[in-house]
Amino acid sequence: MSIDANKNRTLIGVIGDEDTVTGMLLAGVGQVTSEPGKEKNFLVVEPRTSDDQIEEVFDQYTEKRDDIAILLINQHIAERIRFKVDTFTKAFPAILEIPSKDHPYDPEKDSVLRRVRRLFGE
Amino acid sequence: MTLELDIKVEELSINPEKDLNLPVDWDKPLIPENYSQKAGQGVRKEIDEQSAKLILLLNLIDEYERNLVEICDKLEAGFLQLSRAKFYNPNRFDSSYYDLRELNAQSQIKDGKLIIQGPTKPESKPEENEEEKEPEEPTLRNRHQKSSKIVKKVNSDAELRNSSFKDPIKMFGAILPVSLYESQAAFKQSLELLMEKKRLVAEMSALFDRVEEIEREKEKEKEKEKEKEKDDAQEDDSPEKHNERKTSAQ
Repeated sequence: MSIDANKNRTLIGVIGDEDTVTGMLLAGVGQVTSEPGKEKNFLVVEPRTSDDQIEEVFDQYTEKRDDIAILLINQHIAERIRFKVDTFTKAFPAILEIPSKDHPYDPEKDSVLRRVRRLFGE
Repeated sequence: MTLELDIKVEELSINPEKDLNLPVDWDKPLIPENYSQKAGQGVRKEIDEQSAKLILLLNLIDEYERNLVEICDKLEAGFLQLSRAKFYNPNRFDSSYYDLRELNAQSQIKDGKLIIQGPTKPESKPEENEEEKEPEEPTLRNRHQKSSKIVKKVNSDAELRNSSFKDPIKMFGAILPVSLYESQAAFKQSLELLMEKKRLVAEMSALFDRVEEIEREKEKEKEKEKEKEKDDAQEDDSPEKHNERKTSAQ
């Protein structure tokens, strides 16, 4: 049952700044439909976008939608909703943090590398 | 000037048994007394499950870090090219130009693999053969007649337009800078690397869980052993045991 449900997960969602979303749309990730609840699979986070709005969209893409397999999120935006991101433990969609143009990738904040440090006792 | 040495090879050789005072059977390897053939096969220590998992994990961490570096490089290249395109065409390649009409994702995940659709070429091979077979007609005479070649080209263009593939770059217009195409290529390559990252993260989290489970089991066993030792120590200190020791000493 779960395998069939995951087969429907074919999309890549994006929560990022304008350049990141533009780049990912150029790569062909964007989907726009008229189906309620599945209008878009990308969110452009602007300076005026609040943390609540980001959380709401994150919940929508991870809990409510069943067609997203991977969710790409800029690391500096993931920091704003770190609690939500870290407490999301389901297998699908896979949450991958990516750098943005203005915020290079910080390995200190990478969840996988933090787990490695904890395991090896640092 | 050359020197001639009249030394015989036989005189140079040393007889080990006579000259070096070596023990008998010096050329045979020393085998320890407790050595057995079966034990000898396992000269390497048996690696316990936790160590084996940790070794796998270390290899995956190495792959993960390399993958991270590649992703950052590709995204950086994509952002750079996009910035270049924006610099020469201000206010053109931003969110206000997104096509928000019905759009299908051209890059999707099917059966765990990333599939990036490309333009479908119309079947042109049989048409090309037909064109080759047609005899070359003088163009001057047929200037006012529509040539069949032009009609076929128009049909193939229409097929391309009707196909399901729509290049997302076209939402920004028809004539686009080269840097925007390069940015698109870099972002497409980064998608493939991100798929690889997803696979590595899934494998590593499974290994993390197993290693942590093994550590918890080991800690439980250690606690049990400590409790046993405590119980044994308490039994030794009991007055009955003390009396037994006295009588045995006597």
